[in-house]
Amino acid sequence: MTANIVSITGGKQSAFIDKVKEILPQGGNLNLCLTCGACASGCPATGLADMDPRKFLRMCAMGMDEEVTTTPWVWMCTMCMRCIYVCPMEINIPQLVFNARAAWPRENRPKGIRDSCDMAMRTETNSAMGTAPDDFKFVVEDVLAEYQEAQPEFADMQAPIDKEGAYFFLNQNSREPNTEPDELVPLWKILHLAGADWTYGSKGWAAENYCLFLADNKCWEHVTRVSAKQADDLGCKVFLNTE
Amino acid sequence: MQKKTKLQSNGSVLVVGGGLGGIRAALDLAEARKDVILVDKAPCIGGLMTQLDRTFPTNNCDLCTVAPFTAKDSRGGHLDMRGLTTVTAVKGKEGNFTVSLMTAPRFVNVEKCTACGECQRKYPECVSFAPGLDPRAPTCMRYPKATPYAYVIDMAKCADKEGLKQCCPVGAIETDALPKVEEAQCGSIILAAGAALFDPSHLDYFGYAAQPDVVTSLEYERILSASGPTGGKLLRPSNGQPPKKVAWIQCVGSRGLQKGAGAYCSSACCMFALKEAMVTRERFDSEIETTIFYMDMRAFGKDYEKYLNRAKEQYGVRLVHSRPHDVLRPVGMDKLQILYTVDEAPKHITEEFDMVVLSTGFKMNEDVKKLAEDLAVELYADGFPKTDCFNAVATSVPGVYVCGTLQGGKDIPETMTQASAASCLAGAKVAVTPRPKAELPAVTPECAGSPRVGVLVTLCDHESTALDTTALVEYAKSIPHVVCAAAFEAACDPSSFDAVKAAILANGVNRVVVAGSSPRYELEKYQAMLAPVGINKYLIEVANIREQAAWVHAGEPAAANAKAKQLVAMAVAGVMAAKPLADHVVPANKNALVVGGGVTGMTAALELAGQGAKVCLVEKTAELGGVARNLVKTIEGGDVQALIADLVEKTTSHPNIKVFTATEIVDHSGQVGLFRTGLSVNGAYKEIEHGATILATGATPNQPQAFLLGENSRVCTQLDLQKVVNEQPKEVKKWKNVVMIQCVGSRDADNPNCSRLCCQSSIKNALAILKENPNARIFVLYRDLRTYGRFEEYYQKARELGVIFVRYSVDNPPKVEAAGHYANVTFTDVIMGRQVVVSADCVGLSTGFVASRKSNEALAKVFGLPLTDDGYFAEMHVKLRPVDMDKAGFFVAGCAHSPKVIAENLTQARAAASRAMTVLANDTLVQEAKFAHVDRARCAACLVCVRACPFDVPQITVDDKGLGRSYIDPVKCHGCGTCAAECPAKAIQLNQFEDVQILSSLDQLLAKVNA
Repeated sequence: MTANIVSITGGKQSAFIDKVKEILPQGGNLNLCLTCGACASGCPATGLADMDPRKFLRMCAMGMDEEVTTTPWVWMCTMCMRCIYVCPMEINIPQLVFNARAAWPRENRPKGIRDSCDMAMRTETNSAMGTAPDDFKFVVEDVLAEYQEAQPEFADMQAPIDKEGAYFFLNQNSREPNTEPDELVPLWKILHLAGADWTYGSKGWAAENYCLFLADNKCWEHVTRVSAKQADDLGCKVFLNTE
Repeated sequence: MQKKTKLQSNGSVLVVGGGLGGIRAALDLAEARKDVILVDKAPCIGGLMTQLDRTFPTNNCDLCTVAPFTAKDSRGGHLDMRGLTTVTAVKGKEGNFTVSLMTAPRFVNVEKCTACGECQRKYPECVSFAPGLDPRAPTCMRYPKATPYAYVIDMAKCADKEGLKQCCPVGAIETDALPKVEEAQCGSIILAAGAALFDPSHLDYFGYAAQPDVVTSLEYERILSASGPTGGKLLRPSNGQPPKKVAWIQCVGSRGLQKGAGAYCSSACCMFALKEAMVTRERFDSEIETTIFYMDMRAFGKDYEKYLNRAKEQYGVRLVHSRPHDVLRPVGMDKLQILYTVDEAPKHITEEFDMVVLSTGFKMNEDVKKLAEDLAVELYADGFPKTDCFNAVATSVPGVYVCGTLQGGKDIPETMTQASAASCLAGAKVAVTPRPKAELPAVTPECAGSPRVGVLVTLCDHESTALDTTALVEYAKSIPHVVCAAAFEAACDPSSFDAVKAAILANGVNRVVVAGSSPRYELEKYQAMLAPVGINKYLIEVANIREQAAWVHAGEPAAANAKAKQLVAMAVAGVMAAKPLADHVVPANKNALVVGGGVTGMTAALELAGQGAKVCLVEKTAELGGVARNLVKTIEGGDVQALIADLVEKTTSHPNIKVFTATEIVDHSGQVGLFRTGLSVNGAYKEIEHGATILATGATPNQPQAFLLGENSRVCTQLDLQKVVNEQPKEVKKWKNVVMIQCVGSRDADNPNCSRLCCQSSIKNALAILKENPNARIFVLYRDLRTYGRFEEYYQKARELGVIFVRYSVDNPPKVEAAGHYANVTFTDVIMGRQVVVSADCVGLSTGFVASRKSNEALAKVFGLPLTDDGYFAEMHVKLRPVDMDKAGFFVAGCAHSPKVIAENLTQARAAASRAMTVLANDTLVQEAKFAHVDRARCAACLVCVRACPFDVPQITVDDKGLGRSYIDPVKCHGCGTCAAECPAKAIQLNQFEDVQILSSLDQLLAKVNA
């Protein structure tokens, strides 16, 4: 315990936590921690990298910027919000973690997430797996035809792409069309039975958002704008985000 | 009450709410001869306490201590009590309110109803008194011994009106009754309608709505209660099996900013959780594991820290500093799982429990909020009323007062104190009404006739499970001279008095033995109850079979029952030898003595003087103001120096107050209403006469040898720190790091209790430092942060401004070392698992208070009063009589009772004044016959009694035969019996406790041995 003594001398310096407070509404309540442990009790990442949300927040509060902006723990957080849901002070720990990720040099961030974001940036489908518009169109049409035939009660089911004026714009994780095409169908069936007027877009259909998880705001904005533009161009009223 | 002042108007005080606080306020007023209207929207009075099983810190039921005072016979004609009544409109202002009262129909004629329960049996689908766990309703008896003792019907829920009407054997059911609307004139209003409780149904993660075994605190109380849905058996709601493991989760609905929680602390939940855990192990099964998950254990009241220690050490209640994330019941399991973590390591712990109790806090009651708004009382955003920072019971509207949980979450002692304080202020606005002259029962030849003893066994079952009442009654009947014996349903049941009285008259009983609980609480009640049927009060003996048999032999029924029989037999022998005695009525002195000239003493003196009493205010030092002279501001921003200046000005100029500074108390004699106290005023002796005494002698700021205090210039107490911030702001602006250490010299072996005010005072100072110097880094090292009530919001404010609070354990305290210009403070942050060293410009120690032991001991000796182990004055009943003292006519207020903040001291001062007014309102007093008398024929004038008497009462006087013999003035005698015990010639006997009575009892006990 005495190995890493925290030494507090001299005047207060602006710390990482102060910068995060500035950009959050009510400062994300980041100062209000009662150290009750409700967050740490329920966080799926508690104990990983010898860290938990309460400890992370406390280290931020103590101004231990170097450690909090380098601990790999922030990449183990799933952004599930179980912490803030029960926190008596409604402290925005997920945002604190997000901004700690953003403090990492891009090249040091986890390669898997970074490469996925980069891949999404390279194609107008936003697909982190690099799926091209034509490939997606082919898979959707092929699977649809197969089910229309095999299950006569769904003979009328549609899975349109770029249908102008559809009410809902639906996005879709790339993993299904690429590796589990049958998994596309249940949602189509629900939408069909509900009588929903929906469409995929040939652009920006991929729902996975690795740029968000990479805390790369610029890229995140880019992929979001690609999807939003496609929905707007088609005249859709509601964006159904499936991720 | 010398004369009416202009402020007083004719009319009553309206008390809204008949819970414990409302009852106390109403009774104080009635006893001080003010007319009171007490309304409650429920059919009977009693409020929340009647639903609780047992209450801390005594862990007794204590309903029997409360209920008799609300009974019909004991209201002295000043109390008009109305159930099912709400206030629909209020007009006018202080001194002259007109209130509209609407009384909903009860559909039962209270005068006719005998509470036989027939309607409840015939229409069981309509009957209930167990809120929360029992969905039944409309005929409803809230608790078994309700006042008024009659049922009530909710006609809207009744399908068969005619059938219901017909089922009543006495025709008490009136199905066509209509609401009644009346207007009343009131000088002032006390709002005492309590608070609502937080409903945790929407907190899905705690599983309350989905899991039957997750209950609220109140539901758990009902499960424990003998009058609850399980008949006093602790069973799991899901399967009816006894639980093996029970957990409590604290701060549910309090200390939170989301999902409808209040930002304040509800103040009482830590203590009631400890109580529930202790009672669970003590009363149900000591094998049941009890665990409390808490954020801060807030045992801040008088001796509450000791209660907490008892829970941990003696009862084995496990305390875990953690707020669990959730309570789940996995599919297929019948147990609940709590997911939590501990401070020491970042890991999950899943633990199984059979029941989980959510310690739900207080919320503002919506009905009450509406009434407060109608009265234009200013409210906080959470709905609780705003009150003055030096007057916690005064609202923003003159003449409208609040008390109890309506003012903010609190426990019973604080509710009782506020209730008396509210009654003090409200009572000052209305006139005294004359009281009919008291007539004392004469000693008649019948009462001295040949002994016919009645034995009443009055135990309630749930207090005394070990005793076989029926066998005891049969045994009592077999004792010679016992003409009747009966089990008297319950001491808390005023209506069962009537049956007892009838039995006494029918059997010609002239002496009574009550087999019940302690005579200290009970004797007076039975004396008053039996006087109307001609039983001389000195011919009543109490056999304490509750404490002395049922409780001490709790696990051994055979021993308990045998001892109870012996105690009853001894009491019968004793009462047979007793003599009837007559009390005397003498004029009472209506002045008051207030000891201590701090803010508490001055406030008490001013309240009494304002109601017409003449007051002597005695201060030991040369100046008024006390310890508060060292304070600048309260945490709310109240100017303490301005308060003191105002109080001093008013006190010294008030025509009814005489101030004696540099004065000590040197001697004392007499009894309530007739005290004489000798003062040493600047060394000169002076004697004063008074009817009541308030002790407000304060406490002493602690100055422990710790953390380089007094050795290093960087280390100071919070009192000093406050001065530096106020007087040297330039110095404060230079500070970079400040550390405060809590519980220095409190909660330790030398001073085991919590000083209560230090947590808020360090936060107050931290906020003051940040105001001067927003860049200062402040660390507060604490054990449990005890910012109860609204202080919690200042704790939140301090965190918001960046103050860092670090918990330390008593086994690993911080270290302070001199380090050149700075003081280095080293401590462990358990959450990070690291040591932290702060180079501090200032180290503020929260040193708290200790009792002024030496001066308290001296005063206690002169006045004959008890002190607590810590050296504070001991009140009569820590829960229900928090400012009364054991000795009648004595009251205690302020830090002399226990440390607390100024506003709380002033509330106690007003409460003590209110209680003192109940004494001073009497023009006459009853001179009790319990005094020592000398058989002058036997006296040898040996002076043993003169030397033995702790109060210097016996004197050698010369009689008409010229003989010098001991004389004991009945007025001065305290009845302690010391002289009677010491007298070598047995010339002195103490009335009511004569040798013959005691010897008869002992002969009875030892009869078999002697034979």
